[in-house]
Amino acid sequence: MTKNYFIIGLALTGLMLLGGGCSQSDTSLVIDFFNSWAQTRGITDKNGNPTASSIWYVATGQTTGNDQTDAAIDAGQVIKSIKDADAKVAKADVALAKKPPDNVTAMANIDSALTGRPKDQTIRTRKGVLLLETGQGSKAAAPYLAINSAKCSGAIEAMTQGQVERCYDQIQAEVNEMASANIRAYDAKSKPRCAVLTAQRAGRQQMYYLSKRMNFLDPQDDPMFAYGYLGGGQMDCMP
Amino acid sequence: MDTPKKNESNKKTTIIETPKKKHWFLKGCLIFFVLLIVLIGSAFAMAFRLPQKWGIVKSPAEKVFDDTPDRTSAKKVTAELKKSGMSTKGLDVYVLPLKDGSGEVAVVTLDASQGFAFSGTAGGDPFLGTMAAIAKTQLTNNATLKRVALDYKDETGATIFSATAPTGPILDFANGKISRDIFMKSIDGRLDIKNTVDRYQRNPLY
Repeated sequence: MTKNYFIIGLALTGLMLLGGGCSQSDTSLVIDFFNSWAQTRGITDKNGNPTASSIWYVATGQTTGNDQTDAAIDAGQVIKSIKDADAKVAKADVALAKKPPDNVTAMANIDSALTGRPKDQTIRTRKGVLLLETGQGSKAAAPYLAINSAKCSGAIEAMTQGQVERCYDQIQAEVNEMASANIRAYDAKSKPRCAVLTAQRAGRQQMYYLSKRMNFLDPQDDPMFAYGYLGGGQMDCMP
Repeated sequence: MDTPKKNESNKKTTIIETPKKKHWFLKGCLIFFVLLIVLIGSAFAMAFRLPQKWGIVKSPAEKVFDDTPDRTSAKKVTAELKKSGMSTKGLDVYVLPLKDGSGEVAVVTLDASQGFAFSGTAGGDPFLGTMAAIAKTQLTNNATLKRVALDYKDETGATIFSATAPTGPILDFANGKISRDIFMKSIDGRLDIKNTVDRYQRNPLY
């Protein structure tokens, strides 16, 4: 009996070691890749020893001399802050999904997310929408509802087709976020908030000009689209 | 009578000069020693990127990337990778627009501590294959994706190796237009020295 337990124990230990080895093999594979890459780039010699240039590279802070390349390699800290903020926004979502919604916990989480990423427009939009939903007024919400995207920086005429498309998508996502806030306001049998409508209208104007730039619009349909995007549907709203 | 006097004055001169020389020698040694310490300290701080970690210097990522990541595109890319058969467990995609509005960079974290494992679709060279799979997604449709970066974390969640390459060479490699060696030359990367040393100290076999 004791012998059987011993054999089972040994087998389990073996499996655990094997399992541990498997999970670690991917990391060794990455280190092997690094060694192969380092040799190709002249960072190490054929014996795997660092070359003089690599010692200089390490001692000077491992910069490549290209800002974009350094930023891509060095994105870890930025990624960590995005991940932390997104986790807090997810907690806010859980609090808002409760019946009745736990607005206090949601706001605390959104505020905490904004502490780490104060200029992150996606989180700022969430804060603006939440302020409106909790009845704290358009004045308080307006600063958070500005459409501000790097994809849309610069004149539309100077943008490439790809940039225009990405800018359009980004604005559409932000306008949709605001629209959903207004729909929630309707559910509460109240008028839409003016700040949201103003921000939505600004977004739709940008979308209209971007559509024209992308040649999405047939000249004959243009007046109809212009009405929809630029001035149509002026609604009564609450300050 | 004159001769001994001369000798005396010579002797005096010698006695006065000796401590001065010693004094300057010691001062020189001290300055050299301090400079050496400062040089070694700076090299150490630079190698371990301490100014960035302590927040004294803004990291290149903070300077170059916009404050708002493109979460919508990131979700789409993750879904696309999953659809292609790649395991997305422990894999997180971040699409970071450049501040100058010229395009974006896709940074993908591969976290073994969260269950990431290179999957079969990545092909014979998992690291390069993963890079190629990401570059082949819809992100490149509009030609604004400037580069792809991979950030590999080991089973403790510590970053081991970060690498990046411009989209063009990645796609050329993925489509068989350039060899592995040529592609390797267009990759830039960094091995986290501290984390790798820690790792070897924990387990010298790996």
